[in-house]
Amino acid sequence: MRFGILGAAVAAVLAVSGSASGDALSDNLSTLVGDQATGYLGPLSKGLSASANAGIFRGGHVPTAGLTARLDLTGSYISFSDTDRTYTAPAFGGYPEAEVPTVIGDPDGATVSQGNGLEFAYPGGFNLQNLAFAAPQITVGSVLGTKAMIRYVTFTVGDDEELGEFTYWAFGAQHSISQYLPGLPVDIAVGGMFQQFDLGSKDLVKADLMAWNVTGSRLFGTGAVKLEPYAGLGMDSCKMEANYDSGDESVQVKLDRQNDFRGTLGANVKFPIVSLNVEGYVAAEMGVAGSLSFGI
Amino acid sequence: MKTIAKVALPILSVMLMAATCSNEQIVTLSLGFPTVARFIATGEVNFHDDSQIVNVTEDLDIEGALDDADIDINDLEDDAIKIVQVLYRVIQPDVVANRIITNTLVEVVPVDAGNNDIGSPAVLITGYTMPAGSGNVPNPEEWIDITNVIGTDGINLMNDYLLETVQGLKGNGPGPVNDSFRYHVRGTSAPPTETNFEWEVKLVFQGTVQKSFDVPFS
Repeated sequence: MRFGILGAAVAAVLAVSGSASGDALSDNLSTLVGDQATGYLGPLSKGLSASANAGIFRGGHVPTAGLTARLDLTGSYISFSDTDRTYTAPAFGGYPEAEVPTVIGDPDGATVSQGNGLEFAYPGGFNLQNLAFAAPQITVGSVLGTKAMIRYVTFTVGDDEELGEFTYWAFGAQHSISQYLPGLPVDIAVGGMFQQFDLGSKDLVKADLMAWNVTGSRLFGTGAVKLEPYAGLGMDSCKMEANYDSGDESVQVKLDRQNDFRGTLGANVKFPIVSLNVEGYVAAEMGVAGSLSFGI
Repeated sequence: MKTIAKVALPILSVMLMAATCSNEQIVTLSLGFPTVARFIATGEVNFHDDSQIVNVTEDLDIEGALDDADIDINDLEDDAIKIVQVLYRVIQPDVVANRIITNTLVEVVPVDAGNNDIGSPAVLITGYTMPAGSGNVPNPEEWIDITNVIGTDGINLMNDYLLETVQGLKGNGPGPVNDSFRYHVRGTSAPPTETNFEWEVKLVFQGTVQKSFDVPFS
């Protein structure tokens, strides 16, 4: 596995982006069409939306001016709910509607029979209970109470030419609102971040994410160690598509854009140069996130 | 700084471990193998009668597909690949907007290297009314699922061929006597004017196999 510059520090982890299981995902999709494929992939979209949009806005304090620069290592972790493990596959060609595994569901798959003796086998899932995501982030500021954030990871998935590159990049900004409202007991900022994932040379799985957030925080402590609890309210959006071959035909499956409210509670512990962060969130899925930051 | 490292490094380790821990899972994979036959109806009045020979072995390329999926043929049960679906689509609709072919019958029969029929034909599709005109095919090139009109004899013929193919690839038998099938189509064309349209029928075969994966977070 060849890592890019920041990927050497940490790879963004998609649960099914491993070499072998990525291939298997492509195989399983080759037998599904339309609503079957969107139902099968649905939990990936939810999981990605919940985990990748976490740990971005970790406080409402944005200096009005002056140089700030931080390198963050951010990780996020969710547990899938039981309802994510199956979906209702629609009836087709005489086969009845059926409750069958999603990509995170029962690895045994499911079989449905048709009146004239045919049997259609829905593929198994990968029995995923959780999804973790990690990415490096660089944050620089501040101009007019605004800081910018970027994330970037790229690496080659195994030796597989079909899967090829995994690329993740993101950019965003956070702007201080409290600078316009002097006397507020808390720091408030609004922020947004756009993220894009690409897996495979033929965009086997591609996702665009957008996060909007209002974050409020207050810094306590005057010594070398400071505590900054924060709360955030926001909106997440995730649009995912899959592109694969079924025989000699190219198939594109677009999942409906997923929009979810996000509520976050967290805290930063700030030392000189180093900060630690932990947060819990409710979004498309419930989860926790944490980060380790270095900078000024 | 030493204290910070004591706290930070374990947290960092846990995060990275979370990203790499995995369990072995045996997952049922499902692979699709389609084969398509194309027909062109030109100038026929009242009756649509046509036949095409399709090299199904070449179309399916079971060995190639399994190789791409990194699956050993010996991991497949002999009867792991079966026909599951039949689809129909019009490529070029008839200019007669309400053109239909009623009582469509599609028979299949194995053919030898000299394209001679081997044995009796089996009914693959029966009693289907094919929409064929520009007015009743609103979305040309979109597949229509007609699996509900598939014939049992056709199912058995194709599944026997697949069974023999897998056995042959595994070295457990001589393989099927044929690579190709003749598709013979008949139906009544209405209205009774010259029929001109192009259409395809697709057979979808499906193979299932269990394979072991290291799956993270399982």
